[in-house]
Amino acid sequence: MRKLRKYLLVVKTGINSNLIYTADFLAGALFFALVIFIFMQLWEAIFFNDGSMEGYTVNRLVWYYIAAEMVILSKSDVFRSMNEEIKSGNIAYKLNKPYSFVLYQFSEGMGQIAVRLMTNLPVGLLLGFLYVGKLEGLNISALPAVVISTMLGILLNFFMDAFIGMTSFWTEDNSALYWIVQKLSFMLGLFLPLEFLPKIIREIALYLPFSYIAYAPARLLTSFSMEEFLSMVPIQILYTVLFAALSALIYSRGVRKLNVNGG
Amino acid sequence: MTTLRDGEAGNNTVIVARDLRKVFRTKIKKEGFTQSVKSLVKPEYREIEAVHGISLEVPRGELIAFLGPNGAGKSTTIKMLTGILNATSGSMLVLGLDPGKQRKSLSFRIGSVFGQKSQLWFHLPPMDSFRLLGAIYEMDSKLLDKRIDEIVELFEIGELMDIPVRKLSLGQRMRCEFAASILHKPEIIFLDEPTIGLDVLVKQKIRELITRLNKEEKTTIFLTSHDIGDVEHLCSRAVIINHGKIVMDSSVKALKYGYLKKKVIDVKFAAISNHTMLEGLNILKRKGLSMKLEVDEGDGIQEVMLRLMQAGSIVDVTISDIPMEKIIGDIYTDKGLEGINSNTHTDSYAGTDMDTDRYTDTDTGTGSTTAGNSGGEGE
Amino acid sequence: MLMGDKKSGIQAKEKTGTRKDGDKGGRRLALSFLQHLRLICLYFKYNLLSAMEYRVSFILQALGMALNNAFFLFFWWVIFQKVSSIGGYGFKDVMVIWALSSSTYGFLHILFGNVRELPRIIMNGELDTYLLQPKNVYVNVYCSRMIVSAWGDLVYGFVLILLVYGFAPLKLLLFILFTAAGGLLAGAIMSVADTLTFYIGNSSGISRLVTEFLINFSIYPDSIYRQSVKVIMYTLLPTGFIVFLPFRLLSAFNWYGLLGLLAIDAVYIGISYLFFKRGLERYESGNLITTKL
Repeated sequence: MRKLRKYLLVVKTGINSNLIYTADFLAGALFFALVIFIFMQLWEAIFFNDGSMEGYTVNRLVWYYIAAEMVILSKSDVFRSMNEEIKSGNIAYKLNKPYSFVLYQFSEGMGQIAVRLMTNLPVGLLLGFLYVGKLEGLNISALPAVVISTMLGILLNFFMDAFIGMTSFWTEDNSALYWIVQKLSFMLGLFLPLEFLPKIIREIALYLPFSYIAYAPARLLTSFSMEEFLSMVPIQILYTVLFAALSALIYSRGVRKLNVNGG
Repeated sequence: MTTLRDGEAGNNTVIVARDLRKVFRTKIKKEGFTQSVKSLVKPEYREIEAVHGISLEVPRGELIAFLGPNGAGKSTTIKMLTGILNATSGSMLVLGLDPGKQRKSLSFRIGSVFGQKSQLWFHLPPMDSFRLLGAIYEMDSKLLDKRIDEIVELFEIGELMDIPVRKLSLGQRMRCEFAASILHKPEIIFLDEPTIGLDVLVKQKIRELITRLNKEEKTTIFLTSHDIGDVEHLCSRAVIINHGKIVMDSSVKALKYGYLKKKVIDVKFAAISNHTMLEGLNILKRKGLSMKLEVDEGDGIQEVMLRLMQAGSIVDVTISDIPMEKIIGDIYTDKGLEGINSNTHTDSYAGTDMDTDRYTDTDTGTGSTTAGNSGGEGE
Repeated sequence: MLMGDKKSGIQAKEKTGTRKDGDKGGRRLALSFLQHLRLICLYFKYNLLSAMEYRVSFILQALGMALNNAFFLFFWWVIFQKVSSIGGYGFKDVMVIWALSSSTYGFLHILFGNVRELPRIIMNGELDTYLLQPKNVYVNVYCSRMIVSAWGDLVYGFVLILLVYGFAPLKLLLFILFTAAGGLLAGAIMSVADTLTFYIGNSSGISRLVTEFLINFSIYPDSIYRQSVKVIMYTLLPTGFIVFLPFRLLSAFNWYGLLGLLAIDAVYIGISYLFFKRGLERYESGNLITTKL
């Protein structure tokens, strides 16, 4: 019980330290508004305000983008934080503290995510209603499924970041890797639904983890089907567990290496 | 430019400041979301007077220490004198220029080493930084080469010139840092904490360089430091400020000898047989059979020693000056001012006899610096 | 000047007096301009040398940036598989816009790498170093850093423009000119946001936002926006002058357009410089903020 309280406190600290930066929050919200605005204009220019493509209307595409961007923007700083701790060697001092480094990072990350989600959610909803009105064909009973998929997407994103962050036990330049992974998740589901991509790319993407961050929840929100829910959510769970396990593995290997080299 | 220099040659004052003031306006930060939104829209300010009313004159070639506790206004004053900050009111002339209005012209003629802020490029050898600085100070390339040779010899950094700065030790880096700051042959050099974080040997080396710079290039040195050793070993004059005001301006010697009227006696007894003998003595600290006493100079010492010897059998005794650290600390806390002020601005102490036992072990090896600086006194 | 130090007081006055001398002043201005140009070149050289100390990282970062841009091109390619034109823009036009944006911001961040760091530099009191040197602070501070990954942007833009136009010397020359002019203009706008730090305290959030807005309004066809947005694009956030007017001139050149564009660039840069200069007078170095509050 005491142990749990310790980490809950870390979550709370993560939340508080983010809440202080009001200006950052406002800037983030404005950025969110900007990109959605540009995409809305772009879709309207393409469709001349009516018509649809691959089953998406302007309204749905804008809501798709809002949902996907919300997952992407509601991420933690775990990559940067891991990277800095390990590269600077500070991690050596954290290891003998009475908490698990990994759980600490996880708790802090969840705190950050909670804040960002709490701020991005109302902003996203507001912008959506202002720009294109309520989502066409919204299926209220599907919302719990969307929430589950969103949570899984966020978790998957977190563990992928943590995993890449910890590769800095071995390599100096993992930011390039981080970048590429980030761009892949943008390309395979953030800017465009997978349905827009050429068939071959779409089929490959469905095997890779990247689309299960943003595409899955946004797709389920804008055009829900039980079939897709049952095919995507298990894969989301699978990939989340896989990257969590990989993170744990790479962490224990990394710490062992650290001990050998003496930090 | 040259006429200005010639014109000043006969004139001995390089820094004049009159009633300098600096008021900062800082935003008040508040916690909590609503509060911080409020302060975004309508910020509240608080005014802080960092420097209020500093007047100062520094003659050419002087080694002056500018001291004070953290937040006393030292850096702010230096920043005003170098043209980084505009003064709120008051006036100043540095090398005959107004730093606020003629920053650029002034910067050709002053140099600075500001704490940990580096002028050197971290990933490149010092030589590259020197070349760049040469261009910044508009030095003719032949002149620059000559000057670099000169400095390399003076600072003994020849073998460091082609090694990237990141691979140098802190001491080596500081030497190069110094070298970089005098490349353009400044007439005044401002040193803000030049020996911070350095080990004893490097500290000595840096002090030696400062002294040499002062002697060989007649550079005026304006130094702030928390290391009292720097002041003791380098400077002829000390200006102490606190709460933005000068609380004391005197020669370092006067500072020392003013306090030398008092001595500290550390004594250790094997046994104390006569406790009454100890009554009435000014005991600062006592622990079992060891104690520390403060006594007045002159007859006081003899009397106290006699009483101590009668009090019991002594195993060990040391008589020492009050350390400079304590003197300055006392001034910071306003304790020691009366004791000293009566003695400042008189040269009576400069000429007092120099008993060898006055120079306790902390002073060894610095005879040359104190001797070299006596010319800077006499206001 | 009311000090007892009469002699130097008078001479200081004489010195300011010479500035009025028009002919000399002009020559001095020209000399100073050349010296600052030389400074920019030297900073460029030493920044590049610094980057070369970590060659692999340099190449990786530049390649990463180019790849990042290529991803965007993929996005457009996908869209143009579905439609043939967006508000009059075809795939090639979008490529030209991307080439211009990419090289323009690349140029900016290579030569004036501190443009994103200035609020921090001001807040931490690191401007001191530049104020102690006898060079124009505006030029000195912005040039002293290079963003290594920006090389990827710059090169990527050139590759794209060569792909679109082939080797056409005149177009290439114009492209280079627009890249430089647009880079300076974008820098001037970002600098205004940076400079707000002098007036209102840390403005890095605003700076970041302005940068994001500028870049995002540069990489999509301007015809997708409604009129009110376009007004902003030709005033407050002049991506119209950074990318879109150059784009039009590149496809259909005319002298008036070019000269007008350069004149407008100069006005923006001038305003930005004056704003910085006035802000600098309020500079309060960093130490007080960090120690007392």
